Amino acid sequence: MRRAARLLLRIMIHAPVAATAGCAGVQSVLSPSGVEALQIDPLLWTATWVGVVVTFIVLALVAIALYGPARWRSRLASDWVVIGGGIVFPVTVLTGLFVYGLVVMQAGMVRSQAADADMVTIVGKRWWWEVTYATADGEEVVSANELRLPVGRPVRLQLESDNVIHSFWAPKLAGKLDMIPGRTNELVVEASEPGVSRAQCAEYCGGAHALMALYVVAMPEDEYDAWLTQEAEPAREPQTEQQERGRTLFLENGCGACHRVRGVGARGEIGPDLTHVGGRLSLAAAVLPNDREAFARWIADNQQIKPDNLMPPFEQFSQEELSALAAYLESLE
Amino acid sequence: MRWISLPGWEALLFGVIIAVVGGLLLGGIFVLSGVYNVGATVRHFDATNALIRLTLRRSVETHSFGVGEPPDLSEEALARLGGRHFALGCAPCHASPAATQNPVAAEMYPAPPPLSRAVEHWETKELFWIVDNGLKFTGMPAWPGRERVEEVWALVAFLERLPEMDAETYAEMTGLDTQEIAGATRLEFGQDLETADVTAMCDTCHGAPGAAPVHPLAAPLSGQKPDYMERALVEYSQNRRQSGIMETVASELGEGQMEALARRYAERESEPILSPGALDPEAVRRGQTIALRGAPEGNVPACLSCHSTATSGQFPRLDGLPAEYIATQLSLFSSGVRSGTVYADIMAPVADRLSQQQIEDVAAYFASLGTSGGAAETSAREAAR
Amino acid sequence: MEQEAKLPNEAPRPESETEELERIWATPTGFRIVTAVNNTVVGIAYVGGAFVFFLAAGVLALLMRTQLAVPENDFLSQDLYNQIFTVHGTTMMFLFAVPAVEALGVLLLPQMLAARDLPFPRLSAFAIWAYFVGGTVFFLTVFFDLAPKGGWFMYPPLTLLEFSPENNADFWLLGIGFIEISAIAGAIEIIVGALRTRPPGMSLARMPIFAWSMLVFAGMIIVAFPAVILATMLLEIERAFGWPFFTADKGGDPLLWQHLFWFFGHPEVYIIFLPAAGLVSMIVPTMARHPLVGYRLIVVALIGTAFFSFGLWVHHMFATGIPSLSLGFFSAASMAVAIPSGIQVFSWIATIAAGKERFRINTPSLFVLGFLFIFTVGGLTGVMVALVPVDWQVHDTYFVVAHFHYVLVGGMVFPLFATFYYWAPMASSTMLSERLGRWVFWLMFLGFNVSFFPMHLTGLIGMPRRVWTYPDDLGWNGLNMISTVGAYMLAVGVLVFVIDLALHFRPSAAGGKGNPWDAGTLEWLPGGVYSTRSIPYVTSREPLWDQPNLTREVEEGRHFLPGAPTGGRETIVTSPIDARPQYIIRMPGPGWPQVVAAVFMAGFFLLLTVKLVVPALICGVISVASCIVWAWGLDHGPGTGPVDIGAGVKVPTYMTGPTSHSWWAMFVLIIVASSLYIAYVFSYFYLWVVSPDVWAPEGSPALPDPVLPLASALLVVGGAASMFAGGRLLPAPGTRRVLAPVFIAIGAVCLASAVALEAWGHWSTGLRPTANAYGAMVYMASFLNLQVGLACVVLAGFAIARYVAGKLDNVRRLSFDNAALLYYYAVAQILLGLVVIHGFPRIAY
Repeated sequence: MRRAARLLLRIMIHAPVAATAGCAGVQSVLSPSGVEALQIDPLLWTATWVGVVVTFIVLALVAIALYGPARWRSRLASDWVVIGGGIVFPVTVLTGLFVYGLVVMQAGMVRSQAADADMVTIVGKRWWWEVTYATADGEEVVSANELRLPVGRPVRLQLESDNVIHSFWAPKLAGKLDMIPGRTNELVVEASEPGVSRAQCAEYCGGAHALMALYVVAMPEDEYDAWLTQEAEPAREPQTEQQERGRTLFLENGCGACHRVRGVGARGEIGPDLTHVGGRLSLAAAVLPNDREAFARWIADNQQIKPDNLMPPFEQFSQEELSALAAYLESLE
Repeated sequence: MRWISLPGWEALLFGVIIAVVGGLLLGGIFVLSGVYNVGATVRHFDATNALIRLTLRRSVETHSFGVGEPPDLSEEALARLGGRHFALGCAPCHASPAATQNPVAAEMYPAPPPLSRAVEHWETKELFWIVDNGLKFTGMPAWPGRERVEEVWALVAFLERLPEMDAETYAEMTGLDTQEIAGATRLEFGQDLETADVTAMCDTCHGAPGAAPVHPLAAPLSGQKPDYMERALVEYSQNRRQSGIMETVASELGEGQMEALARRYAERESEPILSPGALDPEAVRRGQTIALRGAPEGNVPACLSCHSTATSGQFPRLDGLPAEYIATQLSLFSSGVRSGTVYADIMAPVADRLSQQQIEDVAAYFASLGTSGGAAETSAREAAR
Repeated sequence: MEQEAKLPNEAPRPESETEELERIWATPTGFRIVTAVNNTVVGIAYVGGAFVFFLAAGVLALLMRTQLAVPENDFLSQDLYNQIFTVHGTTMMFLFAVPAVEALGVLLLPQMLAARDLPFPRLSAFAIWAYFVGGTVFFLTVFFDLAPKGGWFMYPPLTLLEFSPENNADFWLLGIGFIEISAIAGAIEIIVGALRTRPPGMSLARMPIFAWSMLVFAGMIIVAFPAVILATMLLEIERAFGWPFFTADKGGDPLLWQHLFWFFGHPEVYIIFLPAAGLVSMIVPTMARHPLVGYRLIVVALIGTAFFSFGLWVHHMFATGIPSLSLGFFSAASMAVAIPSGIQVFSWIATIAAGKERFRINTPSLFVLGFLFIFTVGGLTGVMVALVPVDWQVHDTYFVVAHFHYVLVGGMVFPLFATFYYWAPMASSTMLSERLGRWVFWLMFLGFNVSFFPMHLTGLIGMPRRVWTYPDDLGWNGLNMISTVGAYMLAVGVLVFVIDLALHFRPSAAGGKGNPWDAGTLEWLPGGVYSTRSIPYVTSREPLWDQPNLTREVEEGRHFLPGAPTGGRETIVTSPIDARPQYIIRMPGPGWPQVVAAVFMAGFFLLLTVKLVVPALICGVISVASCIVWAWGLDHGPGTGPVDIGAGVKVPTYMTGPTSHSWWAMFVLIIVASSLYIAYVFSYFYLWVVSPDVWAPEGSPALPDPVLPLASALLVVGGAASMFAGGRLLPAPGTRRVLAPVFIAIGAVCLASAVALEAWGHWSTGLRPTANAYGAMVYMASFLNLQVGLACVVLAGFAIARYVAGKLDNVRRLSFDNAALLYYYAVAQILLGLVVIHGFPRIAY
């Protein structure tokens, strides 16, 4: 029975989705690619359609009340219309919607009980994300500003914050959930197809709130596992003269004070872990592309690119030094 | 409706307007005609003079209300530090127990008062305010190092002692006695001066080999990184780093001299420097944690990840610097006084994240390292590992 | 008709009466205008002030839309944008919406009730001045880079000292402090006004819907605002003194703020909407020339809305990770609240249909129809966000921005403009232009929809709220540009309205131009500054329709109180349910005290914000002093004794005890105080549940010896007894009895020492407010006790002073009765506090 209803919905829904497909970007609720989001999608559309229909009913009634023939108007003018339209009608419609909503919610709750989920801890920072993967053998792999997921495998996200309130929102995967100091919120997500989507902080967290996003990369299970083992490795040794120079500059100029690069003695815990920064899709929490030019700009200009961010500007470098640093960082895949 | 219901208002208003317009007219004529003689030879009328003096005194008295509480001015070392600057920055115009007033200065109008007598007319805070802000239309400049109150207090501490100061004490307080070198009598710096001689001048504050600086506010320089020292001198001379004392000195130095001085101090055989006062071992321990590991919960990185011998020559070594010096500089960073340069902009946000407690702790730790070298090297290596 | 027969007074009346009324109610001229208290004068000023803030905040909105017109724009800096959206939201909510509807209450209510003025004219004047000064200062901060940037919801920890070290956040708390004060003052005014100053015969069942909605509005304010008052207190105290209410690692909880804020914040939306709905319910019948269909249902709906609105604050917190059970409950409540709105919508439709002739289409009714559409859409998107899973997706996105602008602009701004066009002729000697009016409507209606409708989609395709910039490649560009264009269109509409105002709005205290819409309610009676010549005896809901001669009769002064028997400002107080005349209020006229009090209170808060403590205290003292001066003149005593108001009804001109309006006002104030304290008790238990580990006796020093709380309890009970005795011992007029003031003094002393003892007890255990959330909460109780205790001591002192001055006896006793009433409340609060703080932890362990 419910299955039939679902089917009917899909048909109803696909028209509008197609209509809005043009806008359906990497951060769109309207093109879900995760189990949670796929569950919410039909509910959203049902509610929308109910809204549209009711609006038109009301408009029609107003039109009749204004311009309708006297007979219709006098019919409209009774307490019963008020009771029927103001009480009976909404009660029935709302109850229906409400129950549907509960069903979706409960389904989500049940899924979130799924025991065998990988564990990923995401800590909201100002204004970036620290992402820590727990490997099968309980080892912790610290990364930042990007979330990788195995397709078809539920992943338990532990959402935390050690400063202000943030909110993790990856629309294509699931609804948002806040990151609140002193609490750990759990969100289970499961990517239904490989691909890249975008998540953004959805709770105003001051300063550069607008510039706090990250890319979510859903990849086939085996690729994911391979990637995770590689991510657990220490940083890659410099391959070229220039990269070598870059690493020296990196250490000499105290970058290690805030950034960790496993294996080279940079043990900072304040900024993002850079051990494999070169392998990510973006820099500075999805604000810059990941290339040499961006690295160089960020080091010297970060306060222009992301005002108020906690990294001081490092303007002491010559062009040559900057490109060496950039080359080294980019090589950290 | 009538908005003004008081009778006679219009009349009053009219009178006021007349007065204002008339005043402006006369004033305009006076100014534009150029009849007023601005020459320093033409003295003010006694009445004008009295009025000006009254205005000046009242202004100083009123504004000095806002002056904060002074540090312990009885401290001899503080007065000595002030004295060093007095001989260089004030004596040329204001005379000194050692020398009568310079005849050129005497022809200024108003003439700079010989301070041995003048200071007695002012309260401590008033003196501070005058030194810090200078006086309009008198030729008295404001303190070159903006917002460097502790320096101004040093000078005030010296000034307070000036009235009952004879030539010897003066020479001793200003460090003139220790020098047997050219120009010492006038403590003059100059492009032509031998680096050795200049070094001797610097030593009068920063301490000769084996000796502590005249006051903890003056950093010991032995073994400091040359690049950093040269940059500091350049920034002082270009008014990009604030210090009434150092700006005065650095502006006298030539490019080559700065570089030479920096090298000389860097190479100078580093001697143990006694850090003044006993340090609370608890504070030292807390400071060490911050220096080696930082305070991640407060986004404070480890000091030694930059300030060690292993890193860029532009990051000064801190080991063995007096606690008071480090604490002062950190506050200058966080209050934005020391900013606007490439490296200050790196340090300022970090200093801003330190609590007063943390500032004192790290200061204590680095002071505790006592000698340049030794402990810091190891901890630096530790940090680099 | 036999109604003619039983008119209260016989015509013709002496002309002198009108002249006397004119003289008594005359509005001060020149700069003394600021001392005016008459509701028509201050009401218009109040509406004007609110409208100015609307324009100002609207300009900020335009700046934001300009910034967002194109991606990666640098028209505004990040920091400035954050300040602007904070000030925009705060101003629209606190400085425009609430004051605007309250202003309409002040302006319209007495007219609709044909009362000469509101019962506490100077109180409303005070509220308005406090609001002007505080609001202006708050708004100006945006020009000095001092404006708050934590969002209008000011969530901690972002707004705690660690993350907002400058004064900016404090200015928010300042601005809000004012609106809290003036809103509550206004609410008291409106409740007492609506319940006690109705014309004879206007039973509750005949009260205009607007009066009903204002009554509900005021009722909601006195329950909802205390929650946010407490929240702002807690936040400011944590910022200033480091009491960790919201700091997680000291046992506080950021979510406590959200609970308190939204317990106010959601009803706030209905606080804004209900009066607007009330206005619509007044306009629709007029334009349909037919009484409202389903009047009773609408009254039920208003009350139902108020009721539900307190049960759904958590729907602002669906994404905070709270248990699914409460999610379900609040989701249900959030949907249920749609029903009362549905009732109103359909009864308006029914009324439109009911008229014999067709519904009249003119500017006011156009705005009403526009409201119907926009509000319906907003309501339905509201239903969508009430669905928890949907909310998880759209919460804090532009979808929600669209939703609440549909609800608030649709639900409040459009009715407000309808009101401007509809009631302008009541206050102005010329009507606003119908031609310009239609331009205004169409520009605003189209502009609004063009601007906000696309935002639904912008949100759905991923754009979060409160972002000052957005990347180029997410498909948000086009929609944002459209929204910006719409915003400017809307602005042009408002601009045309301003022009219309400048051209045609000519306020005159001497009433407007008759009854242009031939409406049925009393505000359209002719009259002057004194409102109506005589106060009509009312027999129906639309008296002007059902009592054809009423206008003439009222003008001839043939109804109640045709003159000024006591020779001063006065109006009739009637019984709350069936409106039978009870007595005459003698009301204060123009004066300086309320102005001085308000301005210096402003100075107090402002200077405190910028940490100039001494000048602040001076201002505070001046403010309190002028309050006392003000109060001194109020308790005028029985004076001339009972007077004839017509129909042979002789009523007293002085009243004490539960019948008197001052007793009612104090009672309402006590409701405010108790809601504040209940909010506190909630917070106490909430934090206990969140972090039991810091609670006594485990996490904190054990509670002081039970003897201490018992002693405090005895003190306050004894104090209450002594206060009661003091009341009994009040001397007969003209005589003296020293025991009375002595007992009052004893009462005050007992209360003070009880408060002190309680605080000292905890201090002696070594507990400190900065230690953890428990300590903070414990001392917060003492802080609240201190607050009310101080008020009691001042009032008691005032009563004693009255006695010394021979102005307090067993007849003329208002100053004592108020003190006593508040005192008994204080005792209750302190006792409850003792049970909570000393009782529960002992039981729990």
